Amino acid sequence: MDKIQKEILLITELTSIFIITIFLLIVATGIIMLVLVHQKKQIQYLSDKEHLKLQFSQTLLQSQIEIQEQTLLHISRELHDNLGHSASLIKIYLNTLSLTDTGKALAKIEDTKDLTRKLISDIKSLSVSMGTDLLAQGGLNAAIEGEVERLNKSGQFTASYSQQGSMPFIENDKAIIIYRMVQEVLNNMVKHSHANHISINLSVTEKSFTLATLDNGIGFNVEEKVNATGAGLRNLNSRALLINAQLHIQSTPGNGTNISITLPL
Amino acid sequence: MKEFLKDGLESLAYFIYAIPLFLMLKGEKSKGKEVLFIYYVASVFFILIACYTTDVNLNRIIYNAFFFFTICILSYYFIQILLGKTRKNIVRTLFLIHLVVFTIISFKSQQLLAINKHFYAFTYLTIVLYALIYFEQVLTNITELNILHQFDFWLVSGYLLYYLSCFFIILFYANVDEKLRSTLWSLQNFILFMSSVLTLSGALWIKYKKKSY
Repeated sequence: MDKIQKEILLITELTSIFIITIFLLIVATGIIMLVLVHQKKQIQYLSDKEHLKLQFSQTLLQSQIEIQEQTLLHISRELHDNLGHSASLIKIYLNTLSLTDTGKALAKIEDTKDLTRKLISDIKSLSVSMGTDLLAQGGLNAAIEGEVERLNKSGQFTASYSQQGSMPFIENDKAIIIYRMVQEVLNNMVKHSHANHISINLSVTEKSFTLATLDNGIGFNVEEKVNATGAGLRNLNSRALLINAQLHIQSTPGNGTNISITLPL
Repeated sequence: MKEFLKDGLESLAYFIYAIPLFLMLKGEKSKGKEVLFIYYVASVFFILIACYTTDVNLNRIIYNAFFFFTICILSYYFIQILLGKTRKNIVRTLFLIHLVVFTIISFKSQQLLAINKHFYAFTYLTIVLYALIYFEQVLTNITELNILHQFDFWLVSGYLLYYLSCFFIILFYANVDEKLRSTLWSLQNFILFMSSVLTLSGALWIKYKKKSY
């Protein structure tokens, strides 16, 4: 009996050990499968991250090109409307200068001098107001102030810029994209809103920074525009997503438009 | 050899557990790991006392207290490594239940001198649940860091292997005879030893990989 009991005990022990070993192997297999699944998901994650990086670089480059195009367009307009006009007047004054009448000649020379001073001053302020330079040297604040000044100079709008809180630090890449979005919004307002007043407001809290543009124009149906085939709003939206910002568009026909870009800090 | 498996191996396993924690703490400070290190160092001494004492009551009291402190320490560790309110709240809730149960056991007459297999089983199952919550987190919060280069993964894998095995062992432990009980306990200690070796291997692997880079 004693021998039989010992044998039964041995069999029970071996069975327990065997069952537990199988069980441990199953758990170990489960852990190995977890590692494999994790590695597969990680490959996908890294691939998505690379794709996002590439998309960001492309958008950044695109934004930089568009800013440069805007700047060149602005220069061309200034040259034609303002500087060209002043230079033409100077040429006319000098051509019609008559040395026979000293008094009139001196007056014309004074006017020519004034025009030349204005021309030099306009050339200087044109070079200062170049978009990308302002952004690089003065930051987003200076670049937006430059846009406001440009709008005011056009004579078609009264534009204002107000701030609640000081501009936070924003990485250069994001600042370029935000600036390009603001330019896009202002261009749309100039082209389509039929407004005469545009205001830009910057408000900064601990958690976020919001840049809002408001016009008193004809407004539009936001849903219709979003669903339309045009790329304008979609571009704005995709740029906002890329820098993790939120874009809010509030507009109804006849009630102006309010577009705000909120960036979490 | 049998005596060593039954009595000495457990303390050795806890000592081995302390080594990778020490190695990891040299590289980066972490509250969870600091607490775990102190726990394992203290466990070596308390388990040695429990195993080699001739007083059965002292043995039972130490083990009952040890189970409770295990769940306290591991709950704290998992709260440190888990992300998100829901996961942390699950750990907190389970810990509170343990606190209540242990309090009841402490006040009930003679309960601290008994093998509270249901309390132990609940503790083991809770730690298994913590491990599964951690693995769920690992799968849903993918980062650039390779999972095999994360010390927490090795530690928690060891916990899953050990505590899941113990859950099944303890359910039969109190109902079997003395000889088989001894075998089961030795088996449990052997699994603990293997888990500690797994954790140490993981830590050494991580250190080796860091030096290679």
